Amino acid sequence: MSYQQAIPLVVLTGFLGSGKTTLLNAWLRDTRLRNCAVLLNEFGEIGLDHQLVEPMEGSPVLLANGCVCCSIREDLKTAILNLEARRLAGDIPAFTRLVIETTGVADPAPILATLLNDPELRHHYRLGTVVTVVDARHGPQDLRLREEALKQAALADQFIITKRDLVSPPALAALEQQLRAINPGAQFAAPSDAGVLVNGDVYDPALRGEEVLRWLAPPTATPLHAHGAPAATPHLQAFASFALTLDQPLDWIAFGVWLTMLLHVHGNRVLRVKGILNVAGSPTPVVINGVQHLVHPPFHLAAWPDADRRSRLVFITEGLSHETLGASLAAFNRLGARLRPAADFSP
Amino acid sequence: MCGFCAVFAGLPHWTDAASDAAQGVALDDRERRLARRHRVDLINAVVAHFGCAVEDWGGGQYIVRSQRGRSEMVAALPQIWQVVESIAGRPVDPLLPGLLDALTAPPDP
Repeated sequence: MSYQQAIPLVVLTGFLGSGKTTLLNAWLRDTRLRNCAVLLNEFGEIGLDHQLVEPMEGSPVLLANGCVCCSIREDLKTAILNLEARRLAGDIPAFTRLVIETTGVADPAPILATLLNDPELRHHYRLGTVVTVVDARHGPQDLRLREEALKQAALADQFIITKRDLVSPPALAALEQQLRAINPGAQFAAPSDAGVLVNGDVYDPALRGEEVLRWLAPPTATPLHAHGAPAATPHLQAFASFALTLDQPLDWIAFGVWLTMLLHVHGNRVLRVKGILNVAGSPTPVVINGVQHLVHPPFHLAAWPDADRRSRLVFITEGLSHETLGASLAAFNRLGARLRPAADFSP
Repeated sequence: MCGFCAVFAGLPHWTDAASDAAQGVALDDRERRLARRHRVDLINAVVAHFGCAVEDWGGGQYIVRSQRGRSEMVAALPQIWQVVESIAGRPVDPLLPGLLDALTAPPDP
């Protein structure tokens, strides 16, 4: 089964009280979600009326030498494989998409790690999209004071702001600005839009060029706490979003060496890395998309999405500066260009 | 994962899986060997700073060697950094100023 043919897995996350389950309950009445299975990290007070809802139990298992973002969710793996077995046995209807609702204080990274690292799961499933629900009233404070909330926002592909009627339009606009500063590439969807669970997959070929432009369009080097807002905790002040741009074509091998090395040491501080690369020797670009220590299989765009031919990488980091990362990548790229074998080199 | 298991795990690392994608075309055997040689050369420029050397093993694995004769077989780049770090006893950090100075210094004549 190819990566594109695998069943997409949607992660629905959001801080405590953001209204994930309420949204999910409403969305599941939409006919577009007829063939979705749902895994709940916990059963809340709101019951879900859907034929394919399953609970998960347990805690992440931390691998030796691993950090939290690389931990494997054995409970998740077991739950997905059980669903798969029941689907194959005909005990439950076939499903074409799987939605996982996390707990409010969950770090989504272990869910992504489980999916990307497990050989069994990787064969049948792929990451569709990460949807993060943010409460309009409490979200601004959660994002400043709670690392879990900040990470949920940083890992999002789609934002949904709930309880919008409880705040003023300027407050709502300030929250959107706060979220854009954390994660410039994510899109905003309406709470009423059930399509957020079925559209906008990371690997939808039709959306690739458009999505990459969205990642790269926003301003760079943005502080994550809005001007004039209550200060973030000192720890969260260290988070930053910025873009690296390289004028020279990138040596792909040097880039792989550099990024794996960076993520080995600083992966827990690189919340996101996304970008488009002008690879030396290739007429069209490569798209890279990583979450902490994890990097999705890179893919090749059929054409450049705009006139800019530079490599552009957007980072969301904790305590790593634009200048430091830029100088290091440039040094590795120069080394790659110097060591690259000549075209007529015969190994 | 031990070296033996890695042979059979069949999970390509993204840096390997993407080599074709990065070029936009399927690489032939010669181009794969070139890419592999290039990667080993780059890795050696880095790990020399930490007292180690790396060899290609069969085009699918790597052997990491220390100056004191320790050697380990690994499957992909992340494991190389783990082993070198355990040998060197310090983080294998691409942001180290000393490492960047060494990488950008002119080659010995």
